Amino acid sequence: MPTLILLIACLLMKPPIKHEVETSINKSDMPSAALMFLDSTLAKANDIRYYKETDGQHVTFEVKFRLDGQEWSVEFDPSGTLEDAEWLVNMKDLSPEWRTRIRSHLDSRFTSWTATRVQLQYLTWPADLDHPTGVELIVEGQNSSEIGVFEFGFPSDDSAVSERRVLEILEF
Amino acid sequence: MRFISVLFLLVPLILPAQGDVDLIWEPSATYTHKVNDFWSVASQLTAIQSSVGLERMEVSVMPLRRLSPRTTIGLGYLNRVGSPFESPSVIENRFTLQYGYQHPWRIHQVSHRFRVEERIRDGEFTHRFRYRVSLRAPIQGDRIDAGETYWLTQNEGLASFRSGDFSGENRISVHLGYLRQNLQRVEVGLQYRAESLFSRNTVGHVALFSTVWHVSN
Repeated sequence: MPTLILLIACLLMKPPIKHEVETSINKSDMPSAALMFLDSTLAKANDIRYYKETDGQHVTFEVKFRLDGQEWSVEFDPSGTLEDAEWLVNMKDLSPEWRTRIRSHLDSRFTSWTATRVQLQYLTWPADLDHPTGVELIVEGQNSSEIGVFEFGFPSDDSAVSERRVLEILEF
Repeated sequence: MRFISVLFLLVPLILPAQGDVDLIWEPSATYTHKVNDFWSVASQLTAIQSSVGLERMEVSVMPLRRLSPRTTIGLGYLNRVGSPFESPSVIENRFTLQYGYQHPWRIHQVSHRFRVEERIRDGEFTHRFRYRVSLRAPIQGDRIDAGETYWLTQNEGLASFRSGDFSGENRISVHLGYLRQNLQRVEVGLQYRAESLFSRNTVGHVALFSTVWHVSN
């Protein structure tokens, strides 16, 4: 019975659509505290880009860069306080525990799925690479009633997995 | 900026033809009705406007089935009145079978479209095969969000067979698009067509300025 209720709930619930706007900005438009915080990192990084992101309510500033061949994005609030850091990885780079947990969730959610983007999240910088606070995935998935692109957030604790649909432009 | 660069790349393609290039405006409106995640119906109204006046109107409808997050198939019908590039004016009925595949590539969205068409004009049948590749990318940022502009480049090859005759065509275009919050988008673009390739006729050159208004539910 609980399985049936869960199944009906899944069929009726439409995940919210992801509506974020990310705009390229100049370095001078970044909060100065954020630039000071990342000063020593950016001296060693390359391909540095600056963005302002808003979802209609929440404004953040983001710095994306390559460090030792790895792609990072570090996000700040408007005062320049660190919000989180994300490391772009592949599914195979995740620890077996994370992989099992993610696969188990997505296997129960979709009949077939592909992760097109995987990011490990950290709340500190420099990041403690072995202890991410979460994993964010962009997933192409389908089941008997849904098909599309979804964003999933897997926290490291036992709190619920977040999910929302990603806006798609379909070319016909 | 990338859009302007690509636009300049197109200019030399058009200029050599000079005298025999027609410059035409192609306004178009499309409405895609999403029935559910799997089924949608795409309809389109297109006109061709040249210095002479309105030369062509066409309306099309295509039910589409999404097979996977990346693939769609569709079966469509198009009705066209008028024919600006060939005279005299005709009524055309066209049936189309389409297969589409799109996938992300870095910050780009790459779309492949294969079409098989049966064109019926004045009782004559023309079989046409088309392949189009599209590359869409945000002008700012790493992805196309609502309220942002993007650029789109397309190249399409067409092969037509009629009564034992073969004719080829190539269409290359660049577009600047704007995505609104509610999935509406507007695209303006410039397209260059090289017609009657590999045939006994002289190669024709056509330059189209297109404006497309896409609406989706």
